Amino acid sequence: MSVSIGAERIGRLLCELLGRKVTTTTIPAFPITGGAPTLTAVYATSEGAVVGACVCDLDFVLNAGAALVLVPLYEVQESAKAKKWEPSLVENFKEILNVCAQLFCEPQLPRVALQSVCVEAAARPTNAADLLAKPRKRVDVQLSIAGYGGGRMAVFT
Amino acid sequence: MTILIVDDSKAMRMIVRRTLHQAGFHHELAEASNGAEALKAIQSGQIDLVLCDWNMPEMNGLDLLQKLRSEGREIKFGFVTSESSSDMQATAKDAGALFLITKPFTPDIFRDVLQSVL
Repeated sequence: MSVSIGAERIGRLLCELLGRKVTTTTIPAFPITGGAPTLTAVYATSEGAVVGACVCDLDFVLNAGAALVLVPLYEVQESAKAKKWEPSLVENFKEILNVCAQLFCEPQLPRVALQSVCVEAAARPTNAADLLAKPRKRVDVQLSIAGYGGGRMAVFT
Repeated sequence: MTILIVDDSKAMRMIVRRTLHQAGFHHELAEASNGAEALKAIQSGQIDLVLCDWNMPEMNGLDLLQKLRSEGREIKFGFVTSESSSDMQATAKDAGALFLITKPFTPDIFRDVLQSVL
């Protein structure tokens, strides 16, 4: 048995969490190494078994992290322009990732929680390497947050 | 009436504050970033309701609730957490929590749950 994750479910969760419209579109797989900066979140069971991961681009992290606590848009734009991981926005985004554990949860499956977050591809936890390299399923989504910008997220299971 | 918001995420404490206001609850609010801080606040202050995250460093929400009950404190206590399994719901209830609100939440959910408590 496995979880079913699609653009609509991701959008609905984020919409509820951010309290604003979030539109999502499924897109072709985007590069998660060697290109633009990405943040990786790894999800695991209580026993430590890795069951999922999210890889998010800088724009999505900044926009969603700002939308969560209504940080002014210009602060996002400055960080995005400088391609800079703004620590406070990354911290906010971790709370979003924490809630996103629900994407990997089903009543009949073991409890899943956010295990680790890293903001450099080179520092990704080794226990997620297999999943990222050979996922059973990968869903890439373009997101747009009303009043803010958008970004991309790839979900691996 | 003072509500203590306990969450290790500053962003989430801010969101809980905002949601309480949006839901029409304009009570005095206090904050703590983990169970240990919350315990001190409850032991030394006039806290009427605790809205508590589950997973936190130092002392988690369940440990806090169990500590409060072991001290004989019958303070109103509810979880606001991303934990949503039926096992967690049952554990929370068994420990003496009045409710468990799952993140993400809305002002309507807060209103529905808290109206009977406040």
